[in-house]
Amino acid sequence: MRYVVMGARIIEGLIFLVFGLNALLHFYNPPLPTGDALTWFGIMAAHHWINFVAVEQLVGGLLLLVNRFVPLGLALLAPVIVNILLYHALLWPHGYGAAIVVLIMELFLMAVYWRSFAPLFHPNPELKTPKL
Amino acid sequence: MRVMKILVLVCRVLLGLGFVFFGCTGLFMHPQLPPRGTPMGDFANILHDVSWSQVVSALQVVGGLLVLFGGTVPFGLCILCPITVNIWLFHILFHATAPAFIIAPILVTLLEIVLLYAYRGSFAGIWTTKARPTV
Repeated sequence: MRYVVMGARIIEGLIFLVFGLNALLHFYNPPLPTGDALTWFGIMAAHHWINFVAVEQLVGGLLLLVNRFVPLGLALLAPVIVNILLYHALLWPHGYGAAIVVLIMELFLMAVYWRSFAPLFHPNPELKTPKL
Repeated sequence: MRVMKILVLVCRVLLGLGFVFFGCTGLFMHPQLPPRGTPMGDFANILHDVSWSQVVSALQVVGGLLVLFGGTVPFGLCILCPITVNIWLFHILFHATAPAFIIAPILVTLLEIVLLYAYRGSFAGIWTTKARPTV
């Protein structure tokens, strides 16, 4: 099981590191979508929105790869994955295999690092207030 | 102690009501979108046509309610903070930075920072190098 966790962490980290770097450096040009999806993607690229997503993917992937702040890496990648899934569900329903794989590994890693995420869901969390 | 508690309550109510209001506006009213033909207009219209905007509006309502009801504030912040980041990116990257446009994002961000600080105990597990998988 230890090696399954390590494998998932390294594969997820590598995928997002490579995708993030690729969005910044363009060493591989994936096939473009068509229609509205292409228009939307073009706007995202022209206004550098893609770059912010890329940096977030890069940082998240790097944190998973180097095995430091893994929960923070997962927390950074989670909203990105939600938006990737929304993109494939609503705008471009093709080639979503990688998105599903990434989602499964993210959920698995969140499950094994659940101790870090559980406090977010505790009812009535303690309020840390300085003495004012 | 009491001052901080009241401040947190005020922030929760303002943030929760704000996002419930904006989310409901996006879901149930016919939102006024910028006209097509400009990058911002095309962007907003495409996202609205495929109901991406409606998903975000629904998440705003859910996050707002979670913050409003208390007891579930950290989870609500987990939903609202990424949305706030994207609101900022939209305003900055499409140059919609007139004061009238960004007063709401600024307020929302301030409220979230206060709440993130007050509930930092719940987020401590994420800001640690000591996290180990439990298997």
